[in-house]
Amino acid sequence: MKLAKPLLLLPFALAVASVSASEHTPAGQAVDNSMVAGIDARTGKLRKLTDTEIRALSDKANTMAPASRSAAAGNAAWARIPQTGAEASKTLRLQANGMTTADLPLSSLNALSVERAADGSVQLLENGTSVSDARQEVSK
Amino acid sequence: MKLQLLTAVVAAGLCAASAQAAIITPVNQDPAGKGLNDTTARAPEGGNPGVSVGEQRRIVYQYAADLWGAVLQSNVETFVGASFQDLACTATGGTLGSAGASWVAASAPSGTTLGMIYHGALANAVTGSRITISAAGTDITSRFNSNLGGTNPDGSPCMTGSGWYYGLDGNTPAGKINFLDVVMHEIGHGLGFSGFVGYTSGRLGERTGIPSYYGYSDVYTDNAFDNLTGKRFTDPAMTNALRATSIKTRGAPAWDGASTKAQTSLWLDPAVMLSVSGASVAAQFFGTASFGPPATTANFNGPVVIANDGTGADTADACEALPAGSLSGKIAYINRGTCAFEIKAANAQAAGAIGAIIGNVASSADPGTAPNMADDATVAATIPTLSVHLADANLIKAAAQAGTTMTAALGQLAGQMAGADASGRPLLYAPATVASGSSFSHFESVLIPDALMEPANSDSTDAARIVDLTLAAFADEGWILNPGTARIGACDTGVKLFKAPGMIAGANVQAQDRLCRVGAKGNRGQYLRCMNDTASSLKAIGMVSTVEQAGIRSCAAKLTTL
Repeated sequence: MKLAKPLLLLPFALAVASVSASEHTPAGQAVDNSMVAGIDARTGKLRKLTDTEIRALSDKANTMAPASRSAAAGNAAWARIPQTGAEASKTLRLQANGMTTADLPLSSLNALSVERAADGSVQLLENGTSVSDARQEVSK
Repeated sequence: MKLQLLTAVVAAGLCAASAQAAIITPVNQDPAGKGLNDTTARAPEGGNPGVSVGEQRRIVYQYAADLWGAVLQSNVETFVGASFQDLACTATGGTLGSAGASWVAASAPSGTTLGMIYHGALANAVTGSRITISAAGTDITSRFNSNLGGTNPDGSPCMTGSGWYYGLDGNTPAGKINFLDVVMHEIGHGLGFSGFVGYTSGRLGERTGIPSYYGYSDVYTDNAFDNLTGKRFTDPAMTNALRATSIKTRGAPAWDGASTKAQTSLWLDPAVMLSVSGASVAAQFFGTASFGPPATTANFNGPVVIANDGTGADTADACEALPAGSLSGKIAYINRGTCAFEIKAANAQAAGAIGAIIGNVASSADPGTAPNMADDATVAATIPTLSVHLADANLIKAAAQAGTTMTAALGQLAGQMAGADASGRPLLYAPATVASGSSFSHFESVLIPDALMEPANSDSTDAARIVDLTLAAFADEGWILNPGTARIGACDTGVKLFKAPGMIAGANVQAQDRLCRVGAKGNRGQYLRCMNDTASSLKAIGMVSTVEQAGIRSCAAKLTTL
């Protein structure tokens, strides 16, 4: 089984006009899409985290191997993905069919995370929250 | 998707679109020897014939691409960036991966019509021609953690003992993570199952990060409905604040697309509601306990009284012994806090209670949630126990204060489906604490059975064969679904590529056809056994008929060149 090699296509060439980034207001900053969850110290089971805990773990995650530019440092294709809204805004183009197009920044992606409970079971989590109040339990 | 929202140009493009199955192609973005090109030997597992880590990964990616491609129509090839990278990870948790549209196209606002954002692959499909492609050469971006189950580059553990399962049979070993389900889910986001409204601000278009698109709707958000106001998210009367409130209110945001609503009752089970008459509580979002018997319509029915232990700052916390017989034959209402849930239930039981409702409190970290409740090793409660969020708890306490007689019961409400609103709209994920990138862009976690696009993967999802309501949601966004039948070579098996709601038996046949050819390595007998097994497994779970099973086998047998 063979996967296609990266394909680079230029934006639709006919009568394409570039929209100047200077026309825009300052672009939004990247939204932290990292995801955290935790294990209850008393029960050893996966549980929903408090806002404070989520922030603490998010901060910790940010000091770890980052999931953005440096993680893609050796990957030429990923190096071309905008990191922020400001960078994404620079890709805004008016296309021949009247629509505008723009590459999306990494901050717009949906990140999926995982947490392993003390019993070895795993739970998949997305983007910084306990994913399922219906499944996670707290000790008190 | 309302076609009138499209620009005239796009509408013209719709007419030009062909009835061709979408071709979705993974684009290997990894360097030699890494990620998808990892040459580390690995024994075939779960029907994945790859013999190295990289090959198994590539096979799963391709399999997922084949599944989605079979059921959607587009005459523009969709390129999915595929990569494994070093992502944040610890011994007990980490980032599995991330995905989304690589680029978007937007039609400008016109008069009172909002601008409309399309995920790139959908924009190509709708217009019938390639509009553009991202600088990275992709329409969808995806990447996954390369260290799962091993070590990070700095030598620290990354979910040691866990790891990806690359099998395609759905038999994921305990502690492992089914890579196919995750890839299907993430490509689903990239194809269109993600909204760009700001989850905390409520501002339309904000999650693109591109100010020029702020105020634009998008094909996902355009289908969103707010049960608090009774209006769609894009209704002129909906302010940013109203949208933001909806996104963090359980049961408020829901999918209002006609195709999906039509299938809700076909997919979802009837909902079980916790009602407390006299307090106007009718909750679909209630928490359950890991101790005691499951609450049922038979064992959870009785008069409600507030527990009173007469001790401490909160006499209704039931952390101390309750007067003997004070709750005899009653369902005890108890405040959360101070001690473990099971201790509260055990105390209520000792006082004669037949059940307990534990209400969340304002001082908790998440008052808007009805928590699920862990057991406590020091006691053994044997009464059914449920929890409610703060708002419902306050209703119960207010009714008690007013001297109103209350009766709690579990039961079904006619027409109410599990995870849908009263009008059959499947709910969107709306935890009280907004989760960036997760809130809103998933179905609620209470859908029963679980859906592929819920925020948490579960053992009951089987993305190789079922994508439940997701296909209908794509149709609501403007994707044209492929109504055809599975083909093996030129032979028509007669198996529909998909059946409502989201059973993709035919797509599975086509994905298996490619897989079986790869695994057979030219051995015709092995290929036929693989396809026969495919037909048998689909028949065993009732997804194909005997005639269709025969059609698969017959077409496989007619294939002369592998």
